[in-house]
Amino acid sequence: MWKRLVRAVLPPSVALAMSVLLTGLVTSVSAQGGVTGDWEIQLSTQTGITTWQARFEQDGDRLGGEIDLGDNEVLSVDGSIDGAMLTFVIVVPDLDGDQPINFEGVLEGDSITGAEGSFSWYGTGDWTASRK
Amino acid sequence: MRNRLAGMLTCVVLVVGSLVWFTEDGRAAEGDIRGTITSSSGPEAGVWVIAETTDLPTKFIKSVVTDDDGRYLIPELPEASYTVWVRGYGLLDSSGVTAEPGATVDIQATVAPTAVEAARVYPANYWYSLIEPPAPSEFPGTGPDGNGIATNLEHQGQWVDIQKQGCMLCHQLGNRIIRQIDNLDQFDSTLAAWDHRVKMGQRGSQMTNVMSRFGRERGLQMFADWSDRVAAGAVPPAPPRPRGVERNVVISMWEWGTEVDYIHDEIATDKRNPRVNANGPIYGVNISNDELAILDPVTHLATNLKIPLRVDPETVPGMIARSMPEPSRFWGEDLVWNDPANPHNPMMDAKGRVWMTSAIRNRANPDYCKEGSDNPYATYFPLENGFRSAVFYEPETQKFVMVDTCYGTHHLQFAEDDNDTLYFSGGGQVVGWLDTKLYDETGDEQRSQGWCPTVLDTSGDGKISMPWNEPDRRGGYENFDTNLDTRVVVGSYGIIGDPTDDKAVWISSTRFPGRLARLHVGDNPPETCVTEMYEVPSVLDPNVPKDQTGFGSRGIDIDRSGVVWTALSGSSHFASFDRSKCAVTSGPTVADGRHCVDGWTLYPTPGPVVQGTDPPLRADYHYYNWVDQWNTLGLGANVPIANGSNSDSLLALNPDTGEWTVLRVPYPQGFFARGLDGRIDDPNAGWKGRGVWATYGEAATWHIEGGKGVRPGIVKFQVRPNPLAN
Repeated sequence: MWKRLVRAVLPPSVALAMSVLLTGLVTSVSAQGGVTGDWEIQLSTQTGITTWQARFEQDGDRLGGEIDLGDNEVLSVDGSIDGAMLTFVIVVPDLDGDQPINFEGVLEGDSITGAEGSFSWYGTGDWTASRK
Repeated sequence: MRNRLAGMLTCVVLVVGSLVWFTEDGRAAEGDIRGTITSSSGPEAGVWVIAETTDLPTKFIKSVVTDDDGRYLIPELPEASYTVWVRGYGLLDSSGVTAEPGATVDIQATVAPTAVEAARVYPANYWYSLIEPPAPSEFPGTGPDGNGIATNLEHQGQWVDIQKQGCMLCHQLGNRIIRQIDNLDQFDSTLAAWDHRVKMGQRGSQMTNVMSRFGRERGLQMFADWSDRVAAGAVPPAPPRPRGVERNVVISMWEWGTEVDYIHDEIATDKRNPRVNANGPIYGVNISNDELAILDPVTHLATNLKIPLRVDPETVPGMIARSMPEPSRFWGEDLVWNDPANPHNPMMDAKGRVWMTSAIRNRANPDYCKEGSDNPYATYFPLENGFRSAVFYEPETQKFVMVDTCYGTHHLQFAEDDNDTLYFSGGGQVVGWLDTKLYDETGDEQRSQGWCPTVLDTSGDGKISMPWNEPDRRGGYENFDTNLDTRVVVGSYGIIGDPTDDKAVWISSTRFPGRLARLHVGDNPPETCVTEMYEVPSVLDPNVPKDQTGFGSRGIDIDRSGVVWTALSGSSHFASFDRSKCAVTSGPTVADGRHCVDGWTLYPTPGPVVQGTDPPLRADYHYYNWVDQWNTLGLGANVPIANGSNSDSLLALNPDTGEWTVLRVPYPQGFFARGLDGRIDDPNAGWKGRGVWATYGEAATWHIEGGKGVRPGIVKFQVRPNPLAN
C-alpha cells in the first residue's frame, strides 16, 4: 500500500528509488534469500493483463533465467540485482529487428513490484511477479 | 553542404542562356535543360548533373549523368525554376545555377584538391569498408573475460551479420552522420560517445541491445576505432564513376511525408500486370506514424491519409517504444513516432486497390482462430496471437477496409490464380492467405482466410501426416523420429508466389545463415500443405567450400521461369535458387535444408570489401530485392535487382554475364531502398512510358543528407537509349 502511495505522487523513477529504500528496510531478509525460483509475471498495460511464466536464477549480483511468453517463445533473462532492486532485459525476436524489453523491479519477499515501462507491443504500463 | 560551399568559391559557371532546342522531328524540346560539364581536366564524363526545385507542390529533384564528352541533358522537367549543379567522384560539388526548362547551362567544375575532399560524396558502403571486425581467427568468441566477443558467435560471418541485419536493418552505416561524431567534445572518448549514441531516442533500447549482441565493449570498440580512423583522415578507395548504360539513367525524386516519417515501402502497380494504375498515384506506408503516403507524379502533389484500426489506437501498443534510454540528439525527449497500426508493406491488386500489412487490434486472436474452434485451419493448427492483419485502401471511395487475420502479417503478394489469393509472410509459425475473390463476394473474413504450418515431408511419403516432429522452443529437436514428418519454424520474412505453379509460394528467412522455403498448399489445405526448405550454402555446412558460402537472405522474388532470387544482405551476394536442379525434395535427408546446394548460384555484389573479412564480405547491405519480370526499367525482362541500401543504389544483374548495372541516387545521399516495383504507364512511349519506383526507407529520416528537416523521398528510375535522349 505504501508503495502505491509513493508511486501515485512521485515520478516513476523517483518512486522506484524510494521503493528500493523502503523495501530494503522491510525485506532485506527475503532479498538475502535470493530470487532464484519459478515466478509468474503479470504485465498490466493498455492491452490488459498479460501473464508469463518465468524461471529466475540468481548468481551473486547477476540475474539469469528464462521467461516463457507462450507462442513457442522462451526468452533468456539477462540482468542484475542490487540489493532488492532487479533490472533485466528480454529480447523478443522479430522480423523488424529484435525488440528488447527492459524491466526494473523491487523484490519484496515472494513478490516483485515492477516499475512503469514500455514493453514494445505488449504495451506501456507496469508489472508484478509472484513466486510460484 | 560544406563541400558545395567550397565549390562556390572556386567554380566558374557559364550560363549560355535560355535557348529553344529542337529535336530531329521538329518538336520544341520544352522541358529540357542541357549543357556541358568541364573542369581543369577537360570534359567531365560520368558525373551527375542535378536539377532541384521547390516551386512545385512538393520538392522535386532530377538527376542525369554526363556522356563521354561531358554533355548532359535533363529531360522532361516540369515548368519551374531549378537550381542546377554538379556532383561527381573526384570533384567538389559545384555551386548552383538558376535555370528554367529550355536553358543550356554549362558548368565549370572544380577537381577536388585532396582525397579527403573528394571522398565526402562517396556512398556509405565505401566509408563502411574501412571498419575492421574481429579477425576470423578470433572466433568463436570467448566472452567478456576473454576476447570480448560474445560466446555464441562462432564465425566472423555471424558478427558481420549483426552489423548488417542488426544495425543496417534500420539505417545506413558509413554515411556522414554515422561515421562522424558531431558532438564528440561532450564525451571523454570516442567509445563513450558511441556508447551514448546507441541509446538515443525511441530506438535506443533496440540499438543498445544490438551492440550487446557483439559483446558490448568489443562492439563499441570496433565502431569507435572506425570513427577515430575516419577523423584522422582515413579515406576509402574511390568508387568508379557511372559508365556504359549507367550514364543513361534518369532519376526523379519527389519528397513525401514529413521530416519524422519512416516510409517503409511503396507500390505503384500490380506486380502481375504493370499496366495497372498507369500514370496513377504512388502509395507508401509510413510505418512509424500510421499513414498512407500518396504522391501524384503528374501534379507533384504529396498527401497523407491516416490508416485506421478497428479499435481505439490508444489501446494498441506499437512496435516502436514509447520511451528512450537517452534523449535523441535531434528530438530531445519528444516521442516523434507513434505506430499502433505499424503498416509495413503495400501491394496493389488488379483493381488498383492498395493492400497492406497493418495492425487493426491487439495481439490476442478471436476465438475462431484458437484451439477448440471448428474453423478447419484452427483445428489443424490453432493460433493464439497475431500481429498485424490486412487492410486495403480503395482509391475510388477513398476508404480503408480492414480484414482481421488470425496469422500475423509482414509482406504480402498476390498469386497468379483465379481467386487472386493474397499470401502473407510474418505468421511466425505459419504462412497465411486470403482468398480476395471470396472476400469480395461475401465480406466473410473468417471463411476467406487460411493458413498452414510449415512441415517438411521427411517421411518421404508425399504427404504430411500427424503426429510430426515438433521443434523445441529453442529451434532444435528432441527425439527426432525419421519416420515422421517435421515441422520447421522458418521465420517467414519475404514472400512471393510462383508464376509456374499457382498453388506454390516461396518464403525467405532472415535467420543466420538464411533459408528459403516453398509451401505448396495442394488441393485441400490445410491437410495438403507440404513445405520444402533450402538453406543458403554457408560456413555451417562443412561440405560447402568457403569461397562458395554466403549468408543473410531477406528479400525474395522470382522470375517468370520459377527461378527464385534472394539478395544475401550479410555477405553481399545476389543468390539465385533453381529448384529444378534438386535431385531430392523430400525424405529424411531434407530436414536441415542442405540437400540441394547445386540449386544455388551466388553472385558477389559490386562495391568494396570490409577490411579483414575472409571470405571477402562486401560493405553494402541489401534490404530487399525484386525481379523486373516485365522489363519496366528497360534493361530486359526478368532482370533481378537488389537494393543497394548502404550504397544509395539499385543493383541490376545480368545473370548471363554476371555484369552489374549500378543505378546510383547521387543526391540527397541516404537513399536506403526498401520496397520497389516497376510500372508501364504507356507501352508505346519507349523509355518515357516506363520506370521503376523505390523509397527512401531510412528509418531515421534526419540521417539523409541535409539533416533534420529533410523529408523522405520517392524515386523513379528510368533508362533511356543514350545519355542525351529526350
